[in-house]
Amino acid sequence: MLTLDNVHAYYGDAHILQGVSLAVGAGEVVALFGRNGAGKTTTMRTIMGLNRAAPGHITLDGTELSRLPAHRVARAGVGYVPSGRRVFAALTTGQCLSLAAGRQRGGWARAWRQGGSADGSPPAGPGNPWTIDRVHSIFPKLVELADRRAGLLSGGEQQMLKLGQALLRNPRILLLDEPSEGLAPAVVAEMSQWITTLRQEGMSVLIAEQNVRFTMAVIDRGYLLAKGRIRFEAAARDLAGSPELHEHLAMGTARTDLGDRQ
Amino acid sequence: MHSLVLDIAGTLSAAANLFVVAAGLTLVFGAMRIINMAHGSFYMYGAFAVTTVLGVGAGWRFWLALLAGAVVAAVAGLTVEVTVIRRLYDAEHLTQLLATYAVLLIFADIGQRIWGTGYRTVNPPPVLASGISIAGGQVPRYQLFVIGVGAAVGLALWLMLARTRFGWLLRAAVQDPESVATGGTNLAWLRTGVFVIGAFLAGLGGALIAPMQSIAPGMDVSIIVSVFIVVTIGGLGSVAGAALGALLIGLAQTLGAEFFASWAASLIYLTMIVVLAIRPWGLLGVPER
Ligand SMILES: Nc1ncnc2c1ncn2[C@@H]1O[C@H](COP(=O)(O)OP(=O)(O)OP(=O)(O)O)[C@@H](O)[C@H]1O
Ligand SMILES: [Mg+2]
Repeated sequence: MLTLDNVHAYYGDAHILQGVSLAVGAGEVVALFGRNGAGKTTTMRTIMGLNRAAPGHITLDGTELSRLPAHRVARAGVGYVPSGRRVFAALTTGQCLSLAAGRQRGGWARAWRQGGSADGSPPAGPGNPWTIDRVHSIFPKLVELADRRAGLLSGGEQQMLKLGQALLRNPRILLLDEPSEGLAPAVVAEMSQWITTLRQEGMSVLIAEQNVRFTMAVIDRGYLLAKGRIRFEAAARDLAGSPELHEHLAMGTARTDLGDRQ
Repeated sequence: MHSLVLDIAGTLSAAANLFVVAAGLTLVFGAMRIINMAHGSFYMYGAFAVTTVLGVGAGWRFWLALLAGAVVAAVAGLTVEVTVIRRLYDAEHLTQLLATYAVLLIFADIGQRIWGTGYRTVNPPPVLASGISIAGGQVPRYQLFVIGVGAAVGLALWLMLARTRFGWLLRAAVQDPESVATGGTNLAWLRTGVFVIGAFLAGLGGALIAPMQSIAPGMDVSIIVSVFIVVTIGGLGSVAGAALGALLIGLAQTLGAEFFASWAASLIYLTMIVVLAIRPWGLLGVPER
């Protein structure tokens, strides 16, 4: 489904991605592990067309993405959930969802039209089409938050919102950048639940994480990224006991243990 | 008493006209962080386009002329965005100023080729030519019309930003353009759209003012100075601020003309200095991140 082949990326002179190759199959949930600064976010940004892959190839079901601008990558079916509190702070939760749902109907010019039914492009991804009602059914909390400004939501609520927005665009694959970052343990557990649900629906997911414990429970396979290169790749059950992974992510696991004790 | 009503109508109509132009400028700045000097050109083209469509006649053609003024400016805006502005989004403010000033100079030259170097005047449409007596004063109907257009533009912009998906998208793009793009929106066309709306408003303002003052080369520069003051007072990027700023400047103009004729221009700058001394980010502005 999604394939990266020898992808390089630079910030100015800094050579950040030094030949990353990885693949996510249809319906597969794959982790991209790596400690701070390893290049996880850069990998996702490069897939999204926010950084240029130079050189390198990124394909989605055979379609070359690496020369496309971000909005074309999104329209090709890649849903991106960035890390942190990256929501449209000034809009209400309901407006954010409505904007994302509006995308189902094509170009922004059609955004002038309000309400109405989805009459646009056919559903692309697995388990589609996503509607606001359906997002509300998996995140009931978002119903009561509809009129609250997105900037005021808690970290966990913002994760729900970001995930909901991404789903409403009916992606074929989701890129989740550190979905457990800054979340209370109980919310992290919920996050695993949501990802598991998506996985059961056949959604393909690439998760960038440092939190091994959380991620292990939901993935099929994982890659370890270090200093801009893929260090190794393994199935989930082989990763779990891997000393190399734990050594690499010493800080990440320590953080999880702390979190568990709180 | 007569003159008070007339003064109020004069102030409000001047403010309404300034607001229409300033709203376009502040919308573009708010959405794109671009300071567009060529906004003055769009205004001037709007006014001159009215004179072309109207010719010597008046009557129903006035409404066509008004629309034509705004549309000519919108087309000019489209051209400028696609050829110049698009390359400037990541540039320094100074570069943006210089480049859009260059565009203003080019438009001024082209304008003189088309419309000459002399001044022109047009009449308001017959239905709006007379006065209407309010509280004993004969208020020009055309002034009331301009006030109405100003209010309508304000309401339309507010509805657009608060109630439509397009408006939400704009506000989202102000905060986080990248996330708007990764949500599947073509930012380039979103920005073009905003810029064209801004140019349309400049042209509408120019077309509206046409029957109220003589139309001449140089009005591009004089308006840009006025609306810059309006939007700085109101707070760059704030449409409501542009309305407040326009009211203050309209008031300063009227008071200046009435009581300190030789100081009229200074009063406007003085207003700006006082406001900025108290609120450096403008009345409704927010400090830049
Ligand atoms: N805009 C930028 N300009 C220059 N260097 C950058 C930029 N963004 C990231 N980097 C550098 O690129 C490297 C990879 O960063 P990246 O954000 O991809 O890491 P990450 O694996 O996502 O880390 P984290 O777990 O902390 O999010 C880091 O060394 C970082 O300092
Ligand atoms: Mg990161």
